[in-house]
Amino acid sequence: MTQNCEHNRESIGLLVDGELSEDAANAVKGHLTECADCARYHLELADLIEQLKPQTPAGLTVEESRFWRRFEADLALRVARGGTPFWKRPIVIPFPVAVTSFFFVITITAVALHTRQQVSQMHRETAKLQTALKDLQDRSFFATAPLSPSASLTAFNRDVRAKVADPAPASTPAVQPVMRAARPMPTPANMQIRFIDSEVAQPGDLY
Amino acid sequence: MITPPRPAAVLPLPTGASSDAAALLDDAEIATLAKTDRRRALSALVAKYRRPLYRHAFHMLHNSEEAYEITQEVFLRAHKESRLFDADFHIKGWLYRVTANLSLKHIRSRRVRAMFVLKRPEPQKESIAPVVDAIAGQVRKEVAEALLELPPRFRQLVVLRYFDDLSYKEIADTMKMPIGSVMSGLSRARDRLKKLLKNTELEQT
Repeated sequence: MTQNCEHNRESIGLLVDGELSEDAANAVKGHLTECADCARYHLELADLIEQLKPQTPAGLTVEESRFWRRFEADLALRVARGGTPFWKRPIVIPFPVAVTSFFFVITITAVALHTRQQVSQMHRETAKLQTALKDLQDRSFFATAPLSPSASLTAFNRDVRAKVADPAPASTPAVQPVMRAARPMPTPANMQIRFIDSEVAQPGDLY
Repeated sequence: MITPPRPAAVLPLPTGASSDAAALLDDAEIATLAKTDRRRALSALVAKYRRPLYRHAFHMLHNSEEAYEITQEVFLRAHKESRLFDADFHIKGWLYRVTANLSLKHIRSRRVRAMFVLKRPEPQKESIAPVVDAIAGQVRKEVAEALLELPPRFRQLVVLRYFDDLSYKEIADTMKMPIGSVMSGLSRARDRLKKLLKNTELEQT
C-alpha cells in the first residue's frame, strides 16, 4: 500500500479542497477507511486547514461601515484626481541595480578622465617632437656643410690607418683630411685671411 | 489578543449599493448594469469585492495600511480599465490578479527597502483598528507569522485558496498558471506551512 500512498496524497489534498467529483471523492473516502497512513495524512491536513480558517463575525458593524465609507471617499477622490501619473510615481530601483550602476558610472568617469589626461599628454609630447623635428629640419636647411660628421670621421680614420700602415709620400692628396664640415676655430695665433677665402683645411693648419 | 467587535448593529451602507450578502449583484448582473450606467456598475463592483480584496492584501502583507492602499489602487485601475465590462472578460479573476500582483510587488519593494534599513521588516504585531480583524478575520498569531515566513508565491496560493475561497480553476486563472502547477504548489505550500507550525510548537513547549 505504501507505494500508492504518495499518489493518494494528491487525491486527499483534492478531496479536502473539494475539487473531486462525487464518484472520485467516494473512492478516496473508501481508501481512507482501509489505509492508516492515508487516514493520518487526511487528519493532519484537515487540522491545518482548520487553523487557517479566519474567524469573521458576520454582518457589518458600525465601525466597519465607517471604515468602508472612508474607503469609498478616498477612492472617489483618487478617481477624480485620475491617479498619480507615472512620472510622479516613485521609481523603485532594486538595490543591486542601483549599486551596480553607481559603480559603473564611477568607473566610466575614472576611465574617461584618465584617457583625457593621457591624450593631452600625448598631444604635448607630439608637439614637442614636432618642434624638435622642425628645428632639425630648419638647421639642416640652412647649414652649408653636409650634416654627417660621423661618415666623414669614419673615412678620416680609415685614411689615417692606411697612411700609418703604408707611409706614402706626404704629397699624396689621398691623405688629405676629409673633415671639411668643421669650420676652423679662429685661435688668436692663427687669425689669417686665407681662412675666409677657403673653407678647406690645409695640411699645415693647426687646430 | 484583540477580540473581534461583536456585531452591534447591522447597517445598510449609506451609498447606493448595500453590501448585504443578499443584495450583492452577480458579475453578470453588474455587466448588464454597466451597459446603461457604468458609474453605478463600478460602485456595485467595489461594494462586492472590496472586502475580499482587502482581506487578500492583508493576509499577504499583514499590514492594514498597505492593504488599504493596494485595494484602493486595484479599484482605481478597475475604473480606468476599458475592457472591464466586455462580454468575455473575467472580472473576478482580473481583480484578484491585480491585487495579487500589487501585493507581490509591494513585498518585493519591502525587501528592497529592508536592505537599506538593515533590519528585518516586522509584521504588524497588532491591527491598527479592531475593524481590520472584523474584515480580514483573525487567525492565530503563530499562523500569521508562519504565513509571513512562506515564500511569496506559496503565500499567494494559500491565501487565494483558504482565505479567498477560490477554486483551483479560478486560482489558475488568477495566477496564469496551469492547474497542475496549482495543485503541486498548493500541496508543497501546505507541507511547508505544516513544518513551520510544528517548529513554532516545538519552540513553545
